[in-house]
Amino acid sequence: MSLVQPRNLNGPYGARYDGAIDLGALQARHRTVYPERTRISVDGNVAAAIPFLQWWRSPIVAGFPITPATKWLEYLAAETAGDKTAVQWEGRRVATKRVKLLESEHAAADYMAGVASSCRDLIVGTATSSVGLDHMTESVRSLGASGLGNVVLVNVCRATANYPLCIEGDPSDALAHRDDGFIQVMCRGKQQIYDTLLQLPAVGLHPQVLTPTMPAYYGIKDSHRSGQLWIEPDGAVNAFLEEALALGATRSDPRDQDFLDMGVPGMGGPPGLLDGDTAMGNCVTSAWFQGFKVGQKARIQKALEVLPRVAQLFEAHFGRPGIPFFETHRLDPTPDVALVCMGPDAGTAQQMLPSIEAQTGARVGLVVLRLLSPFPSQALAHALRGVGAVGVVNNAHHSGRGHLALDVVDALAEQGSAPPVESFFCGLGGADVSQATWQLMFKTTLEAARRGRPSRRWHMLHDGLELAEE
Amino acid sequence: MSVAKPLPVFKDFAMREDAFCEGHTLCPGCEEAVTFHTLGRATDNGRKTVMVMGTSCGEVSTLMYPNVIAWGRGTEEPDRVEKSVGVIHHVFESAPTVAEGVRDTATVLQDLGAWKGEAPNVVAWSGDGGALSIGLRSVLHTIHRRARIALFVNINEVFANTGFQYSPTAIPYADSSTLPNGAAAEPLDHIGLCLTAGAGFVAQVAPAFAPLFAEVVKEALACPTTAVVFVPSPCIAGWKFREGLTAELGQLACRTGLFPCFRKRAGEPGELKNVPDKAKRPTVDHYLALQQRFEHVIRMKDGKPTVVPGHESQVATIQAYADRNVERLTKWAAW
Repeated sequence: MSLVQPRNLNGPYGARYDGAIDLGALQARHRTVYPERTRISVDGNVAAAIPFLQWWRSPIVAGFPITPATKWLEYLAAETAGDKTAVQWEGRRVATKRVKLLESEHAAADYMAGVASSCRDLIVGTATSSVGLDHMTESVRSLGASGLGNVVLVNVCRATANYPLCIEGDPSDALAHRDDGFIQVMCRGKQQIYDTLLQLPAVGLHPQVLTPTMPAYYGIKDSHRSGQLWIEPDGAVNAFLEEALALGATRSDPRDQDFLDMGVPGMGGPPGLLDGDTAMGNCVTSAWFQGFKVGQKARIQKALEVLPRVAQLFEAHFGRPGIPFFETHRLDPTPDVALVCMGPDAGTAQQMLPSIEAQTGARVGLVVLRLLSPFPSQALAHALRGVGAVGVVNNAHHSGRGHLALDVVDALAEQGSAPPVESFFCGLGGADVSQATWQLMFKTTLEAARRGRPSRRWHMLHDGLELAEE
Repeated sequence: MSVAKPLPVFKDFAMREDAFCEGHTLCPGCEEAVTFHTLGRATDNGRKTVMVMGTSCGEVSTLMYPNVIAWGRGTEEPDRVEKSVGVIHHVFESAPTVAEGVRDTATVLQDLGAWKGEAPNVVAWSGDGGALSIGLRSVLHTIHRRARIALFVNINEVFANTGFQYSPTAIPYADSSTLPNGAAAEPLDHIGLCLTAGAGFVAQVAPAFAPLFAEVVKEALACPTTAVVFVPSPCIAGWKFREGLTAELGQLACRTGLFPCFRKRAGEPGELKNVPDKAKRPTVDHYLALQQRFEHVIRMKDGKPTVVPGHESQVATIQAYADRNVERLTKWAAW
């Protein structure tokens, strides 16, 4: 059959053959999983898997099991087994969803590169954790620079590497991969996980962003514990995504840097391999390499503008807040001190704020980070302006003051007159952060505010005790 | 699987439009260019073509931004998508798996009515180091999953584009930058590995046997599961031989039994070609002496191969390997 299609010459990207891939046909074949708004009890891995069943743009997912991410894959395998997702089409039963089992995490990342580059209008995902993410690194770092914003890599946080092996939640993996080029968003709770998944492809696929995304949540505490989840109907999920994707379709914004750093306003993004006459992943000399990196950096920074627009649209559709850069609790009016943290243990601190204030007689606030990369430095510094001291809660091993501590110090320094910053390590390897530990962190941060400087470069705490000294 | 008809001596190819163009930076005398021209013509078959390249000299010599002019049909983008070529480079070892992703995407789109054309040509390209050293996992598992891709593995016995380091296809005592003067170890049985992993079609043909090579390329593209074609390619820069010997060395590598022409479809008897019976088979000494990578063992003197004194056993080892290799591939053909 002849495939004459309108050829759309697309600058340095080559040609795109509009209509060579009939997305309408793909949409029409979608088999609805949730026709109505539904409330169920699920764990975090299932909450992260359900959107891939609901999106018509996601006919393929890739996987290789690793604790504690395995159930994401098992759930999708079970829900697509046999005839479950099949539709009748041209006289035969055709599966609309396919789960691809690979032989390793590295292969899963390679495979996603193939799917995502073939058709840039599809969404392809996988889930992994810890050394699985490390094993993907070579390919993940390539994906991060690739412009393939249709890749969604679910990271179920777990302590990285062995010596010793620990399968519980610890964001060492997410933080070790902060510079891989992905937009990283940390979640806590099943609803946050699900809602974050629904929004992120619209950010990654925005033509000025074109950056893959990495939603993340803590292993065991969020991956394995069940909670209530509102699932939106497939129709609403897909309608929101289409409307959110259209935010970038007008190309009305001035184009600072495009994928190839050509700076051409109005130029469409690169075509896919199947519907384009194009080359990607080329070799360059150092002079050109810098140009590519200028474009990459500009694109991920653009997420800071696009994310709030997608989040606003999400709230308009579903009545729940979209992805913020960070949550704030008791930050208005400006508290005496604030802690900056992330992950599921933040819930304990959030509940303790009134009692801490009652005990100390001081006003205390809490910031729970969501967007890790690009780090929302300016917004964070603005949120923390005027506080007497900041305590940063690091849940991952770091040879210095902690990944988050350094980011927060940097953000505060950028705005000048930075308050003292206490750095705390706790919850390493997924250990619970007890009330006694939270009390100690608030108390130590209040002392830093009174003293005008931190007591040490870092503290390592568990259950209200100092485990180690600098 | 449909049986590919033998090509009538390039007449078919002469009518096709090549997708490999001027502008590449392969070394003069490199046999990869012949391979790419053959691939470029064979894929002009009414199907969209996607080419996946692992890092290799074939990749770095043809995908250098901003002069990406080596791939594509015609002087500008073609009017029809089935004439177009999508090329992607990914890391050394990953070409088969990336290609598998491309194939699965095309298949699901086709199954659901979103891709209305013929199933595309999905070609993966790797060097032997990329495919059989760092990438052996990827190769074997893509075969194991019976992915419908045509994988071409360029065999020049070294990681050529990074400076001629040892690769596991190297024949004994071949000098390389990381294994000076080579070693007695025999190369990996790459054909046996692919057959036992479940490849639908496995072949080994040097482009020096041009009609046969074109036939094999066409057969690989038609294979309904994984086709693997090993392409022995004399490397003029790494092996250090005189200009004009590329094709001769490619043919000698076969005739001596070091890299015989071989092809086999799963479940059918295979064949060795262009390897004379032992009595008429050329010994390895002439082939070795033409290449400086063996000059520590054997070299040309007064136009004749002359073993470096004290290295007779090494030449004998290489000869014994060549003989065993023919026997082994004969068994694989009958497997």
